[in-house]
Amino acid sequence: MLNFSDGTVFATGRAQYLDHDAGAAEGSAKVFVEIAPHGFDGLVLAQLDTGAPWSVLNTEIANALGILAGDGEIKTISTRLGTFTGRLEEATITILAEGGASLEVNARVFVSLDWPGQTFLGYSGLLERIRFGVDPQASHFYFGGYAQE
Amino acid sequence: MKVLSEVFEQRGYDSLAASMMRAALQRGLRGQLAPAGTREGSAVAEQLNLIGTATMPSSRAQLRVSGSIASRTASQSGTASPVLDSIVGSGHFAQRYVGESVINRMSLPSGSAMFELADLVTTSSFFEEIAGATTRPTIAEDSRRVKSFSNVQKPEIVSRVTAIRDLMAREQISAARRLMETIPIDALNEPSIRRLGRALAPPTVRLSARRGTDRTQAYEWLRQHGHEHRGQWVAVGDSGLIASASTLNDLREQLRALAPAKEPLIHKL
Repeated sequence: MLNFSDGTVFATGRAQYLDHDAGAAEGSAKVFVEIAPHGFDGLVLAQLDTGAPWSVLNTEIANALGILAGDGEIKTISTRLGTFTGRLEEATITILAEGGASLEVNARVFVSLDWPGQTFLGYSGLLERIRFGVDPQASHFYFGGYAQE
Repeated sequence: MKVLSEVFEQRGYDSLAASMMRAALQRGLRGQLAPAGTREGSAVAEQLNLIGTATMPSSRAQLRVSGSIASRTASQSGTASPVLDSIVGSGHFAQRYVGESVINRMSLPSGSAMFELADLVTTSSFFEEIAGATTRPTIAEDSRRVKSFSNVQKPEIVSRVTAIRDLMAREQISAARRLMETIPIDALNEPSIRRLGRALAPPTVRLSARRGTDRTQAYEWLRQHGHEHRGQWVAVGDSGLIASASTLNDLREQLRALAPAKEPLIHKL
């Protein structure tokens, strides 16, 4: 899909991303990619956020996955929506590729009963093991994993 | 000093830490690796010993440590309880520090080298790297370690766990993981420590046979009409909106009834 100059693989999958926060009044630019959380019978959009220390799952999705009442490590995060206390739980998430290979990530995600926002893919516990790049002209998200099994 | 700056810029974190320490040793800051599985005073071995009288060839060594450092002096002969403190050492190290440290800054004023390290945490693997060892401990060695760790006092473990949580609160996850490696294996049976270990486990990634589909039309519908359904859950397909609801459960019920041929895209607006 995408290779380094020495021929080694950089990205194995490609997906079109939504470059727009569809729910915002003046559609601010964002990168939303399609994911399939394991244990959830649906495909959802998640916002890529490299500045977020942890991934955050929408509360209703976390509830559907059965991890909202888990016993993971307690964690407090600060966001633009406020400060929230929840837990770090294990979740398996597939980042879906339209071209090439999709990527299944066994991740650590923040879940909280109080979180009012969407689903974010953050750095620790998820993006830290993924190489990725975007082609803004084509709205393409390229990705590949480290140490692929 | 230029070389070290290049190291800082060009190398990864682990090799930077090792290179930095190696360079420090070459410049006269004496270090010592305690034999694996032994103890120094009441401190756990396999940790970095910065030996007192650590003088630089032409100047004095300076080590600044901020954050948590579990330290003991040799003279305390194992009777002291772990001390969590901050140390700003300057000049001679009159004492012998044994402990795990989060070193934020290390300056070697004999030259112009200045290191800004946010996440350097001493771990056994770190010392192995410094010592030039390239192999991982054997199972037998690990077993001996576990045995020796069983003597680690509970307060020590508690102080390490506290330090790990502190690092996590500051989002210094790499450092927290390194410190987690120093937790004795037998302590991992403790539910709270096991929970902490689970939270810090790095993600694993593998290729999946599952394929995504072309979402051009669905994305276009979201761009054009998404704002009209703000606050709602929507399911969108190639021909536009399939269903909407105020809760995800309601939306899923609708979808089960509608049974669309192609799996729709679900989004909360």
